[in-house]
Amino acid sequence: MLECEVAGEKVLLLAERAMFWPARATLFVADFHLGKAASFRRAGIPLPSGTTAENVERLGRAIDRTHATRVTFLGDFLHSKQGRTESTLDRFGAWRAARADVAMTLVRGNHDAKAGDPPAAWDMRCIDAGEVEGPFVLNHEPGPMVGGYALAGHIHPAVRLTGDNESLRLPCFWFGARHGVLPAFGAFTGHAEVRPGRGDQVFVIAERDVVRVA
Amino acid sequence: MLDEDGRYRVKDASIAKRHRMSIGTIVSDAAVNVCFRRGKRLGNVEESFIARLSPGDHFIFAGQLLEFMRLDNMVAYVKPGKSGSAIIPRWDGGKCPLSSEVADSIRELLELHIEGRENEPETRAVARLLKLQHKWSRIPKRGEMLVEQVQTREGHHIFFYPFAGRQVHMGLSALLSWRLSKVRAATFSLAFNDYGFELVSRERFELIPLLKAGLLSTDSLLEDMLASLNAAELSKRQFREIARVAGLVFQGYPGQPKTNKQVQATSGLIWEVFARWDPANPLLGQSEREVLERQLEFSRLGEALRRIAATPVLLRQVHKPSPFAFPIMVGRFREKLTSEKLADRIARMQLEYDRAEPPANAVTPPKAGVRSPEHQGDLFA
Repeated sequence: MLECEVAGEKVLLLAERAMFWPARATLFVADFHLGKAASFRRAGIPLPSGTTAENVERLGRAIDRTHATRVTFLGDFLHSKQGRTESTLDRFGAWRAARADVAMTLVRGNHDAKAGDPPAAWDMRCIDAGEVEGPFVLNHEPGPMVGGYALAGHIHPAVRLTGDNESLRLPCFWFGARHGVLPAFGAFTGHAEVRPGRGDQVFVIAERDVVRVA
Repeated sequence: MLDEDGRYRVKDASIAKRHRMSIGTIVSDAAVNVCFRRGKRLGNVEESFIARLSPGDHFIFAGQLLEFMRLDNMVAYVKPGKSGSAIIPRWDGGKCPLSSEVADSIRELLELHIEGRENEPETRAVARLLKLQHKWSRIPKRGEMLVEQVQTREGHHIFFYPFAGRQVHMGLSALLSWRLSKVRAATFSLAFNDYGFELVSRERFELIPLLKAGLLSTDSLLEDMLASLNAAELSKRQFREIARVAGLVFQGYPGQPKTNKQVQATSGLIWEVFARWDPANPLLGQSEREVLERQLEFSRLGEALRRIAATPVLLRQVHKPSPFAFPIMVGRFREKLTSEKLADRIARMQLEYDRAEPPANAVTPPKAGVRSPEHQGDLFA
């Protein structure tokens, strides 16, 4: 866990690809994409199962490490309608039931608009982008927002690092002056390379560590 | 696909259709049509070539000097170029390896050249370079393998010249860097051509004890080779073809083409998912096998290594890259192989910033050019 300051607040960045805000004991997670592999399987593309189990296990680990009492999903929690298969929903539902003490909020993203809200039994508060919480505005698509520092996901950011003779592309946390973007949480998600500006704070995820690169 | 009374049937007609479309796919680089603005079509060229051009670049195509304007939906729009230097598209000719017969005669010719016993027009043309090579380093005789070590700003280079052809060199470079990286944690950058290959690392390796300890040995060749392929992620690239034929990556219906870049991204992602959650998947095994057999010509590689192991090594320390080394060094196609921890590598790297962006604490608007990643080859986005 790496400590840094975003919008004047102390936050902790986790290699589990989540951000923890101690002042409100809140864990922020972007682009969970529950059921993505399942929706590929539904379409006849035989992907192995295991991604949901890993996602859920990793989220549980992040909650345990931070003792978060709230989890806020910054959009794209469910991947698609086709991905709402029984086994995927059962798996997450069972996990949710075991973690009933954690309050969960979903800021609806573009995928959620089509995939629909999670089952009511999961007890997740679903809101549209723009809700203000402390200095933060909860959002899905990155961009400056009125009312505070916007936290978002959506673009699955990764940055390129170059050395004398080598180059690496790694998923990252990217905090600009007025808005920040979290890495995609889901195990089966790609990345898009972004080019941060000077003065931005950038942290890459290197296996089990978070490393500050700018 | 579902089991019904003991037989597998495809339940969904659209899946069957997609599967039939993928069968028999001949995997090649996507071709881009080259057209004038008004729409006159000149021909087509590989996407990989066009992807390297930026608007305003000149290239020669269909016998004309053209200026590249933009790429739109797999069509490259061009206009007649003004005079000046232009790039000539190259096709895969450079990837066709030397046969061992040709390689042997080249070595014979070189040997005759040092002894002054030949007078071929080709060697005369490069006589000055060969002289320089012999002076700075050495031109190897047929019974020797030349190895050069040189230090430049890029790091420590080791050049091997087995004259065994490009494919074999690709395999040998992965193999040797893998073996060296087991001696000491290091990151190698690999390059190769038909004559030799190069390993570049940040630290110097003392070769003589390593050679004595069996760096070039043929023991456990298959195991080391497979391990090095994975370390260099060579099979990940091969997997792209397999994923395409197997229907894991959907190419789109005819008439609605997607660009190849997106497919590359998803086949890499699918490879990662398979490698992690289904490592025994036969498709992964197939991609390893295809790399070994098709790309590296494993049997030739074994043969070449046996020959090299039996050949005396001529090790030269050179002050600057020799004429033999130069074309390998500037070769664009480079592979990486590392045994270092990621965090250690990051420590010496720098972030690539947005060049268009002013320095200082300017507001970062969302990048217009960033395509949202969930659309990459995703059927449902």
